[in-house]
Amino acid sequence: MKGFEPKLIAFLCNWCSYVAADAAGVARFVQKPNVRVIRVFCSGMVDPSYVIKAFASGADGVLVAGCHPGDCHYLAGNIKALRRSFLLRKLLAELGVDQQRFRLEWIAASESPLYAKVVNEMVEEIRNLGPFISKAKKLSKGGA
Amino acid sequence: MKKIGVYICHCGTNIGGNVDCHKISEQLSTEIGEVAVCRDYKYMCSEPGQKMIRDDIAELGLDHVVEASCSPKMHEPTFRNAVSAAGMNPYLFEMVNIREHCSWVSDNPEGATQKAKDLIKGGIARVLHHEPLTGSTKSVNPVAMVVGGGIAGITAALKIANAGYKVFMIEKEEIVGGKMAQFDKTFPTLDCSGCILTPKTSEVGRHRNIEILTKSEVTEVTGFVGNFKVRVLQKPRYVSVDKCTGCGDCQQVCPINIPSPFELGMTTRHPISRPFPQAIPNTYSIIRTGMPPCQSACPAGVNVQGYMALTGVGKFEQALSLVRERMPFASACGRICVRPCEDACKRGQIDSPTAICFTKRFLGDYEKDTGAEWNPPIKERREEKVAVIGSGPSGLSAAYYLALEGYQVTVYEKLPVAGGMLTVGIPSYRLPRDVINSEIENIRSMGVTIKTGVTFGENVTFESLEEDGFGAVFLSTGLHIGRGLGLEGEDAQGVLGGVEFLRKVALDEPVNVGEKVIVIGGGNVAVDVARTALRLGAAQVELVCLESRHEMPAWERELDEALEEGVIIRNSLGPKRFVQDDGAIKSVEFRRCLAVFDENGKFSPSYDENDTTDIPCSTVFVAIGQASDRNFINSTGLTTKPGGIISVNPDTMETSRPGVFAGGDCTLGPATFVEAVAHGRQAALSIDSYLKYGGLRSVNSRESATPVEISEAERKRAKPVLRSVMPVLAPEQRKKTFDPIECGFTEEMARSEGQRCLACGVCCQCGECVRKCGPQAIDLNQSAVTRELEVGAIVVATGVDVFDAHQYPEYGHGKYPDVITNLQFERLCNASGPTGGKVVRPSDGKVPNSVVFIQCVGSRDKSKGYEYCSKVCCMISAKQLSIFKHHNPQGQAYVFYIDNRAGGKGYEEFLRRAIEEEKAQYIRGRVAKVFEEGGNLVVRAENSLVGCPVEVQADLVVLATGLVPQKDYVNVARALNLSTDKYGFFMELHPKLGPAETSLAGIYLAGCAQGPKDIPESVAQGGAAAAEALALFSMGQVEIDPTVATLNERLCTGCRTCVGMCAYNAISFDELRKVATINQALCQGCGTCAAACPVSAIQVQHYRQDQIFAQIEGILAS
Repeated sequence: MKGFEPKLIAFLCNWCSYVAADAAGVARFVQKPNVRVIRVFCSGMVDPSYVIKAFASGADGVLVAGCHPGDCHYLAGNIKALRRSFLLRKLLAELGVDQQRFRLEWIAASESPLYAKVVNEMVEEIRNLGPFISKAKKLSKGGA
Repeated sequence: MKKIGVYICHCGTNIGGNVDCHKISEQLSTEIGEVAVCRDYKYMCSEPGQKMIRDDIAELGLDHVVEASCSPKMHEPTFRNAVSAAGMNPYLFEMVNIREHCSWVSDNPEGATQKAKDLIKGGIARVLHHEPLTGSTKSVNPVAMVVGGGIAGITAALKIANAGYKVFMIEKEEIVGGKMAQFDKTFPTLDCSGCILTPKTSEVGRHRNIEILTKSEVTEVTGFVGNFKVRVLQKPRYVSVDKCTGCGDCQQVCPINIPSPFELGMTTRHPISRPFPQAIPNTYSIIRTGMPPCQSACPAGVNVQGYMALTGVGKFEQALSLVRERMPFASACGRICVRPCEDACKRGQIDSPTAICFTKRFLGDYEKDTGAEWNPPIKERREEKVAVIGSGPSGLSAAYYLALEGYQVTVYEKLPVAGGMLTVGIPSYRLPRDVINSEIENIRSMGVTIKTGVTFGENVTFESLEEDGFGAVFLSTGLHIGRGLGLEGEDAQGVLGGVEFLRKVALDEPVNVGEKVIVIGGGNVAVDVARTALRLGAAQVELVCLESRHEMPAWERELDEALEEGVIIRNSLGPKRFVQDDGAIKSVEFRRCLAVFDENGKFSPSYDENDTTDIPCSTVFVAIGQASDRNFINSTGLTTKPGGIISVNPDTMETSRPGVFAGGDCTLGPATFVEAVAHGRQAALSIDSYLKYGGLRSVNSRESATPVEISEAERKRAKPVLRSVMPVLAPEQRKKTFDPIECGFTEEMARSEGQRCLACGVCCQCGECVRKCGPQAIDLNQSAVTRELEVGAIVVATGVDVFDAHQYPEYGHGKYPDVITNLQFERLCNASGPTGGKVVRPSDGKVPNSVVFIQCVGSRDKSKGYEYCSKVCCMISAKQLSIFKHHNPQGQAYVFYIDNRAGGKGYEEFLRRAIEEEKAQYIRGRVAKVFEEGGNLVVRAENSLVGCPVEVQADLVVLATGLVPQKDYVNVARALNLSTDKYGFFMELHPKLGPAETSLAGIYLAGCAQGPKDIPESVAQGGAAAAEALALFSMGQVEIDPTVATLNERLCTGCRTCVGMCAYNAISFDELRKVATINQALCQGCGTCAAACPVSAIQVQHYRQDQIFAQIEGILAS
């Protein structure tokens, strides 16, 4: 697994977590360069299919981050994201995605150190896990 | 094929230093076919950079533009404007963040370059799916709301109002002016804070475009820029701003004094007051925190705090009138009440509860002793007649309150005496007959007729009363039948019911009490019976009960007194049978009771039948509870409940028969005296409503209670006085007579108890001010109201709080009176402050010679959670030491500082003057400790420049406390949907370019709510926020983001999942066509519906699934 550089997609909500990521930049909190951010209005906007699409397109991990419960810019979009995440996790498990590869986090605008910490933690965890290979691929390899 | 222009910004070296922009540019030009042009440039946001884009659009006919540079939060509008200028729809543009998210945070250039390239490729893939979008426009409601009435808010409000627009100013406190109103002088000019502020506050107060809402808080904001809907909770002032003339008569009669919050506890104020004479609004208002726990706990809702406060200042007459508003029997209640008020009294959390009950008894007795009659006035006489059946506490209370309303009341009583259980149930050593008689006499004197010896059902009936013209009947017949045991031999001679026994004694009927008496029962009646038997000559009285000692339902103090008098208590014994000898009782056989209650806590005694005890006796009293007279109850024809009690509506006391009301024990089962009184009053109010309007309404609306837990403020209000002890007769003296045991409080004891009260509700609503107020401006029944405002722009100027110096216990604030905060020092200097402007020590009023200022208390201290510099404290201390020196030129000031920060116009010069001309000694070093030695304060620190410890003697120590976010910042942030930094200051749109804006269009920031700043900066930011609002109003309309949800009806299956998702009610279901419909004017674009739609029929424009998928693919392509 030496030299493996995982690629992560992070869906960040426009009002809290994206601002935290910006603030982490302003404060120069060093992060592993493995995470690519996609801005969304709300964590509640993240259709489970986006997460699956990311894994299908070769991502090794996906982070969804939004405002803390109670602080959602759209009242409760983050709660809806949370509600969906339970079924999504089961679905991901079915697809052979290790549970560490998907994270849902609450990161407030003021929590830039937390953002950097989450990114670095997650990159290291996934580096240890190795690249994500879908069940289908594994099967076809096994069959070959 | 579409043509895309890609532009990569170096941002000087911000991006270029870590990301190889040129290499990416070269690679992308060739790698992706649609990329028609790819350029990198030092500063894309500069005019040459923007021109480059505009020229390419024109010359190359680009379809899309991708810009890779800083965060879109920074420059997305800049570049959207640039492409628009060249004729391209701004939504055909995509911005990629390679600075904040990439170059600034990546630790290696290679990784950063790869990351930047991936992100840009994501942007390119996404932009190919972009479509032109146009937003709609909405008109702007040109009304502003300014939250916070400090100098920043005042400035913003005045500027907007002067421009001709309406402004609502929302202020949490009773006056506007904020912290600046508390200051004495301002740095660096030493001009008087009041002199520059009060002209502004008075202008705000009388401006025709400004409406001030004091004691108000914003609870909810909905809508969007230009069209906000705001809910404001306006708490009562209790004094009408329009009627109050500011004469101050009210505060002269107010019985309560509390430490003044405005004066930071350095002096007291009355709950009705105004902080200072020039305050705006220049009228009085009342501080009331809610219903105090004593009053909440009282079933009758007696205003305990009110009569305690009035008693404390010797206004006994008014105090008793206040008691009588809800309790006609002050003397009786003061003797026999179960005192839920004292259990709830918060003074009990300090030492022992206030002696509420004995104080009330004093008031009742004082009236009797002085011969005065202090009842509330009778309202207009009414001719309607009301009958009351039963003259117990419930019936007499109903009669009293009906009489006060003006009704003609007749009370019918079966027994030859009035008073019910008060007269025939409670022995006279606890409640002397003359006491209850005089209270009944008082009720008679209100015009109530009491007819004794009249039995309901025999002498009078509902029908006969109706015929006699009675409009309503209140039934309160009580429970007068003693419960029997139903055991073998219970019919023996010498076995008697406890209730019957007490009644016979009270009515002077003959009863035989033998030498050896057994009382069966563990409640209060049993104790009363035992003690009465003792007084009637019994040689030995044994009280035998099922319960163990700690389970006994009788009150502890009654049991103690009984024991003192020689009553023997035998626990855990249950009667098995009564042993007769020739028809007369000889002994009682008891069995051991193993448990009184089962595992569910239900009464279900279990016995050991083999463990029996035989107790010889000559008389037995069975006092195991009272029962209802079922025959009587059934004869009334009213609906009943299990247990043979009358069923009533607990809010109105109405029975199943129209016009008939019932209350007290006959509706509750055995209950307390005070509950019976509460029922009587409630029934009187209902009967009044019934007779006046023919209908009933619940009149139980209650103010919310204050917290149960004692607060720091309440603790501070506690006067160090112990609870007065009720003088009692010695056991030997009392046990053979029916003389009252308790001798009563003296006037001094009652007043002392009144002063021990913590005034938990602050204002006690005693009504003294209401009676005094000439223009009748005071209304104690006011309650909070919610106002709904429609505004176009909001300025948040909620200010700051001052750091709580108690968090540095080593500095002794709160322990030593001469260690004060710098805000307290401001009040000391202030001419309208507690000392009238004299700088003196709070402890002894002496002029201090040596004053030590300690800097950075709660600033720049990570251990206390406040890492930032509060910015103003260095200058405040320089100012304050200068003021001190002007007051006492011989004095010496010392300042312990970390660094001196004097950035600002004229600030450094001012600081130098403090050092050079005022000769202040500035010592660099954090203070370790302030302690007392030989009656003097000593400040110990390390001089960090010299590296040696120093100790300075101080007459006064001033802590330069830092500025911290308001305690309720979370509520404001939630209501307005604002972000805060990690401390709780509100986040501005951009730290440099948008300091007065927030990330929410139409909501602006001013003053210290955004971060610590001084007065000139607050004023400047207030002006900036006003300019933002005025720019919006001047535009007249706003463009609404087109990034809203759209529905593809052909895909919609009508499952309605989306309808429940929307927090804004923007989605409804079209029943006719069986599809969802989206109201785009209400849609906020959050996309929760789109994510939930199982068939992806809903898409948010510009955040469509195909666009996000393309971006994912683009990013992960390499």
